[in-house]
Amino acid sequence: MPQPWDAQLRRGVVELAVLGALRGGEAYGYELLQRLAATGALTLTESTVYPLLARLSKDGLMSVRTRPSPAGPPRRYYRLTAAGRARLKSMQAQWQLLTRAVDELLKETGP
Amino acid sequence: MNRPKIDEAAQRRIDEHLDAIEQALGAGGMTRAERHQIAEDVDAQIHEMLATRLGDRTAMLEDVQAVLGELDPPEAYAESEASTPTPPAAAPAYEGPTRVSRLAVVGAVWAPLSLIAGFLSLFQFKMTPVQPGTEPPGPAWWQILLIAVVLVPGLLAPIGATLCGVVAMGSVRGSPHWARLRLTGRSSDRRCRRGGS
Repeated sequence: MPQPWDAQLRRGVVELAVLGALRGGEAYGYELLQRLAATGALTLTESTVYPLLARLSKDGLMSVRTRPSPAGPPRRYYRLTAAGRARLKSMQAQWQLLTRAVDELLKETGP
Repeated sequence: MNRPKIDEAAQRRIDEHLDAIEQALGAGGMTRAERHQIAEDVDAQIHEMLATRLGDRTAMLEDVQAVLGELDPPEAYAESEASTPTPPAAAPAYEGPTRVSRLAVVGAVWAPLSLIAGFLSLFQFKMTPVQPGTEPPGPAWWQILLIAVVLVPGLLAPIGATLCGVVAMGSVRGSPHWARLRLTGRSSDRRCRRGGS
């Protein structure tokens, strides 16, 4: 069962995770959820990811195009824009700095 | 994967779910277009999950209920990250050489001189008769020094200190640190209006 601190930790990285999941190419909402779930540790649900996709596309970090779906209503495909790729790059650099620093701390003060 | 046929009651249940999501997002201040976009994504997901489960079979109410049971409840969207307002961007950290305006300090030191000058002006000057053929007694050297150091700047202090203060405030307002202070002030105002601490 997820703890409150666990939820906070995930919340902090959800944007980076979504941008990262789209680095390999465009995806529609449910496909993106499955990509995130496939990582094992990132079980982000639709109430988190879909509003985030809406915000990121409004901010110009993603472009959206609609294509017909064999399963029902048309799918909305999300793709990183140049601004989205730039955001991902800077977030990734920041993330690496952060994880390196925390790893270092855990190494020094570990049990 | 084929498009699943959906029973009328089941379709109504899906619509109710999507309406509830849009309502929850609306309460969070999201625009209509964004709410619609999110509802479309959820709708597409529901249909894909039904198609994966049922194949060609018509989806009945219980099938839809089972799928919706695996999804987040509509109220979860009200708490989502994107439906909460984005915090204001942090102002850049102040990187100036000093946190105190030198002009403000000069003004603060200069202003009390007017009080001292006012105090000194209360003293009465004693008139001494001068004998013909003798030099009139002028002020002593320390009196001249006192006039130069205290009296002249003291008389100019009300104007000078005010000018220093105005110029110093102008430069403080233009500094990045001031922008950060203003943001902090606005956050406090919002907390007060909400009745928070």
